[in-house]
Amino acid sequence: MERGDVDRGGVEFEQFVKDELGGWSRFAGVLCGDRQLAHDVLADTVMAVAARWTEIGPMSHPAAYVRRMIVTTFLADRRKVRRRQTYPTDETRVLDTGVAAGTAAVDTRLMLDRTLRMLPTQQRAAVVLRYYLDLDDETAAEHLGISPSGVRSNISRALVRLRVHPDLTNLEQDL
Amino acid sequence: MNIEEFRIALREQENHGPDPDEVWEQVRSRLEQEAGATTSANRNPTRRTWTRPLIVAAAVVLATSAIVFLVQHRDTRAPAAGTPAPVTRTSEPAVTPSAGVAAPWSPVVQSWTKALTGLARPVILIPAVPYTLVGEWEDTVHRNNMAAVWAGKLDLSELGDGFPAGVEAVDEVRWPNGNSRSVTLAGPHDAAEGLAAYHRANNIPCGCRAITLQDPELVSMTSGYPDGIALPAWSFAVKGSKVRVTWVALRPAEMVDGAALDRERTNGGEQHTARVAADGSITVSFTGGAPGTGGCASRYTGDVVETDDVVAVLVEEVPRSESEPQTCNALGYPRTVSITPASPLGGRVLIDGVRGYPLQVTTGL
Repeated sequence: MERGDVDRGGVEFEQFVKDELGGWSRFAGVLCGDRQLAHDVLADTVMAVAARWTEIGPMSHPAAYVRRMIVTTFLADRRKVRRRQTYPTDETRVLDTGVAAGTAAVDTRLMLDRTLRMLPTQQRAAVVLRYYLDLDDETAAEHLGISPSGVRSNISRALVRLRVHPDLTNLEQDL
Repeated sequence: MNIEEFRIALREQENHGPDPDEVWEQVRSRLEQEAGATTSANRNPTRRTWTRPLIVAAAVVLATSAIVFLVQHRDTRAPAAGTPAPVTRTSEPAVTPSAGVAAPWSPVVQSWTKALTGLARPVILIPAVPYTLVGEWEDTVHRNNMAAVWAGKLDLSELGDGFPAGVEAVDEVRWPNGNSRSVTLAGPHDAAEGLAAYHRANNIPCGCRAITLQDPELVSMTSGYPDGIALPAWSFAVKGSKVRVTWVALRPAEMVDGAALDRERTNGGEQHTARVAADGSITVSFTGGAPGTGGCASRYTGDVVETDDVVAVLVEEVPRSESEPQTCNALGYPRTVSITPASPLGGRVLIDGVRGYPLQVTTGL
């Protein structure tokens, strides 16, 4: 094999990644809230998958396992250092309802971007796992490496923070 | 925004994920580099055998020395009261470079040409998710049903294989400029399978019950895309709920997903628009820097790349000279650039040659 050991599963690995990469990209985009960060997190994750393909390939749900790896990589990356971006620390930014630019959809996206960035990484990940992937507490807890009650607690605290924004005052936890 | 709307808004954020192709390119490149390094190490077994123990031994010696030093100087290192403690800056970890971005427009044109190959003309563009939900899930079922839709867990057994009585398998799509063409419809079962397949691709594990689709009805849905055509769609009732879900009723060979070709995922953001004059010239409108000749005025040039399928318009800002201010606040002006393709646009798709999205044509083709 010309490419040596790193070819690992060869065609099988490559096909698996290509089949799943679209879904992972969408998930990573929501999880990270930053396209470049999501790109790096996803690339790092796929590299880790390549290194462990002989272990991951035979799993019954390898794609779901890789999604857990994406969450782990995201959390680990953010724990090391907030390296790519600096955000204003002035809390009043959430009250900035200033000039509406563009469509309502863009306004909503920007508002969500801004408010989700207020959340610590674990709370953000818990919110995404619950409200984007619709995972139950137990499965979300496995992704995050914490207890189910920890998931509920993270989501509860996240919603309290998000409700600070005037557009999100109606967010109620539906645990 | 209630929690249900929050879910939907959160889901719409997925359009802003990284480009899978670029991620794969980067991974492939890193794997190849790694393979090269591994091969090189294998060629030098001596180095391979000794390098790791040497590094470990050096690390142990350094760590031990550091501990001894810290213990010996523990008291003397304490800062005096009121003296700020020294700050040690740690170097930032290396940021992985993105995959290189190739020439701005040629990959765009290539992608579009590939996507349009074999499609009937005029091309029907669809948005990323030709799906709508009509109504709100009832409290008793909303968690289950929303999860089931997102996981693609749909029971299609009540849809049958054919078309409902009185519905023809052929329909006609009309464009605002008078163009039209007939299309072969996907049956309700095939369309619902498309809806399920799209969501199944997310691989969301779901402990939910499958929802049963029934009572298909042929309706129209706005494409939400620049040409503003009404697309035939199947609206399905959901058993046990008043909600109806809708999915485009076209076969994959009849349409192309324009959003998938948008390199920068500009869907929802501001996009350039175009007006095509009777003489074939195309005027592109966009928001840019100030016009005029001042130091902060912006100048733009237009270029066009044509193929049998695509007309790509490339609008570029002329770089400022070094004597001019490089940062200006004079932004947000309506600007235009005109170009004339070698042949009329016809049934070809007009796209932004840089970002890849289809341009909204405001008046007659």
